[in-house]
Amino acid sequence: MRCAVALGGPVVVNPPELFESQPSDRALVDSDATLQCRLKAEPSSFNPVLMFTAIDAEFDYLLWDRPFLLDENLQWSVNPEMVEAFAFGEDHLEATLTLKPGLRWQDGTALTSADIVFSWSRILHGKVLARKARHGTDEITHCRAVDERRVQFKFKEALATNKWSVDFPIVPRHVYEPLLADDPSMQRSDAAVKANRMPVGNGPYRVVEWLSAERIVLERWEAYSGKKPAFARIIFRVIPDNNAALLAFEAGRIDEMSLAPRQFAADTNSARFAKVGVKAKGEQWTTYYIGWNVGGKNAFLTDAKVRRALGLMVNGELINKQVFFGLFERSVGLFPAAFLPADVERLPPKFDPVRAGRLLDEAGWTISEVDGWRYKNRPVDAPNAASVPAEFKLNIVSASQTSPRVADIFQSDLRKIGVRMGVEVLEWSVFNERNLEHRFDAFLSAWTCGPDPDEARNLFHSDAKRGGRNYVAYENAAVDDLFDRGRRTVDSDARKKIYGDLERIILADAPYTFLVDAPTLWAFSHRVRGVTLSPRGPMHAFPGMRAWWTPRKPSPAN
Amino acid sequence: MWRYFLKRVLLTVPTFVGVILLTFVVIHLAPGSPATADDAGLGDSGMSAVEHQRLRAHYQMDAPLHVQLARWTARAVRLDFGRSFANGRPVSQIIAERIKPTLLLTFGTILIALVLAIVIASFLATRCGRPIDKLILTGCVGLYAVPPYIVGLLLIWIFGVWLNWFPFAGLTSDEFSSMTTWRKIADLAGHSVLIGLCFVGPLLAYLIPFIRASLLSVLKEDYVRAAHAKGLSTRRVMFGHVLPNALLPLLTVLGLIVPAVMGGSVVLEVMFSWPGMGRLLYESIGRRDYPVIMGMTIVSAVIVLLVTLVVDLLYAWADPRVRYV
Repeated sequence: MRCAVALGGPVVVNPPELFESQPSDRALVDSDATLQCRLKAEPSSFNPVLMFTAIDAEFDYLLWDRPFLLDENLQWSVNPEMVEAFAFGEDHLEATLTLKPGLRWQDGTALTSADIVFSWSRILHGKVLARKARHGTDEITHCRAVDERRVQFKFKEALATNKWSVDFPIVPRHVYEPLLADDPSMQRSDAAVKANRMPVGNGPYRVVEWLSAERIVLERWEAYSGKKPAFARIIFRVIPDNNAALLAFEAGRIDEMSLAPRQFAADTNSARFAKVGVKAKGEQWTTYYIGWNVGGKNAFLTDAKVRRALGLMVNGELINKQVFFGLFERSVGLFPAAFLPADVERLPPKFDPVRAGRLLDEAGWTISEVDGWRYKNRPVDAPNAASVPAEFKLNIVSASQTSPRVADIFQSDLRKIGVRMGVEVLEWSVFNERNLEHRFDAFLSAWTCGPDPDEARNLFHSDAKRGGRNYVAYENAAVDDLFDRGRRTVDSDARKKIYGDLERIILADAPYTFLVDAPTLWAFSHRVRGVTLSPRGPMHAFPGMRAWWTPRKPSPAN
Repeated sequence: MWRYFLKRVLLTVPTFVGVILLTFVVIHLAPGSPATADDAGLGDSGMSAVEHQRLRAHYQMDAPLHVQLARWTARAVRLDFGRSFANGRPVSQIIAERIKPTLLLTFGTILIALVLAIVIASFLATRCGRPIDKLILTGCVGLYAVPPYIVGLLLIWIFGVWLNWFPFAGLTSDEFSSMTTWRKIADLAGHSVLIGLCFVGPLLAYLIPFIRASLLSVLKEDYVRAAHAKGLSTRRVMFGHVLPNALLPLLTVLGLIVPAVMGGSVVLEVMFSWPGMGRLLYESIGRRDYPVIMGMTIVSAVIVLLVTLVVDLLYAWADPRVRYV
């Protein structure tokens, strides 16, 4: 829910006009205006098959249309601009898609079912680095063009997630097929790089300039057959530094930027900021957590009782207040409420050192009278006897400004109950490598939940322990079974019940401790309208920036 | 002189090879890989073990290190530095784009700082011990002590946001491609002012005391006193006898300044969104983009070694004693 509030100053948060839809009277909309956006870094490619970073994704809906959409509530839907009909077969093992007649690529070539089949085959090709696009698409065993407008899909299994599997990106066959003989990867020849940087898309914008590390300019494709966006041009300025970006916003050089918690709470309450913009805050499915290596060598962390005790030592209120300026929410569980039955009651866990101490005592990790730290089964009368200390090391990412502060608070609280925690700061690539190889005790990170609960499968299913995202080496046959049933259950209510059960088991086993949920925090210039805040922020769901507009300035004569 | 030249050039070769070899081994043996760096962008989906393996094969990292080095060397000697892991573009093309802003910044600021430092230091050397001398020297210490990041933010805020005199992000304006040549030069200069000041400030703070001290020591020489006794004007003594001798040690300092300025520009390039080599290196290391890192190492090594070579040769030319050391 959104509501407009003033934060102790003149700057308004979530003003109603920011979310105002485009009026039907086009005379009120400035259709010649230029929107200026901020990019933290350059995209890697505009080829949607190869796109994989969040920066790449900002361009996805602008340059490309695809038959299916992820709407602002992260619900799957058919794209009415492209699709005449789509239906699954009765057994859910087949589906047929019928494209609308007259679809075109930006160079005027007809967009047909052959483009869809070509795209599917490229995504699954061994030489193509379709890092993100391959996920789910590999559930499709068969993709055949029935005729110019009809495509038939066949799936490995009748899964509820098959609707996501058909939502893969499409690229123009006539552009890429001639390049394949020289470069089957679609990214290692000059011609392919050119096609990826200045693509022939089918979305409402086309790329007119890409000046490396400086700016990317998109222009509205006037022949677009769907609903045309209001802004005639979008200039993306590459501004890596957050402070410089805020100054650029205040100088009127960019119209939007995401804000760090500190910027939102402290740096944007001035009259100077109020003169140029407003702030927006919305729910985002991003959760900060600590992952425990439950299958690792540290005996302290292999006991669920110990992990639950450590979870009770997370002072969520303090972390939120001191690190995230009170803008975050205490996490209540694994999934967003939308994935669970309506009657599931979830309460934020309380910071409870007394109960945590009791749980550790019960698990055999008692406080030594000699040094005050906890040890496993240390005889009171033989303090020098070999025993296992209650200690672990928490890995954090060096690029994160908040992780060291969260770790400090946690470390200080754990010390009070006799648990030693060390902190190791690692560069992202090394951090990730250690996780993949299960070479850690615990790590602090954040994830953004996908639009389907099955996305969490590769975090918790035992078959994702080797090379998947089950970094914590969690294994529970009941959880595996529920994940397998969840993806095979098509009925929405029945699925919700399964994921409710799943969450309960996982919270009890505590392979992760969930800390806080991060909101989306943004700054927009006064002139921007039509913003929607999805759980993935204002850009990464449909219609995203396509719906943004700015009112036409009254002419002097009026 | 030719013998000295040949000796210096030959010494440059093993240094160059050593730098390249060391960089190659270090970046490949360091923990982390392009595959694990890529995972950062994947959010909710993540990569499977098969995907990681595919990435390693794509980046040709599945071969032993010496094989990778041999492959890379075979290409590099043909001046083919490969393609960026991040976007598939030829490394030479990427570096060609990014080296221009860096060279503009490095040599432009060094030149401006040198001219200003010589003028100011000459002024101070003839007023040694006076209040203005003390004031400027104290100012130099202060300027050297303030981190360039703080100076940069301050300059952006005052001249970019508040007064709105200079642009502070990027190298060119949106209309750059349609500008006349003179407008283009003015546009580039405008974009370079604030970031340039961040470089010129610390350089001045370093060079002014150095040149001043050198001038003062030469001013005490007998031949300077003799020149004055001959009745030459102060200006003639300064420019004809003192400066040429006092600036000789500056050649050595120049050899040190160039790599320092080129290497120290990362923070400022990020802050001013300057599309230079420092930022490219920073981004490439984060992404483990080995071909770009290696390409940049080669280019930086060539520039630094070339500058050092030229400085050494100039020194040998100006002071013949050096050739016989």
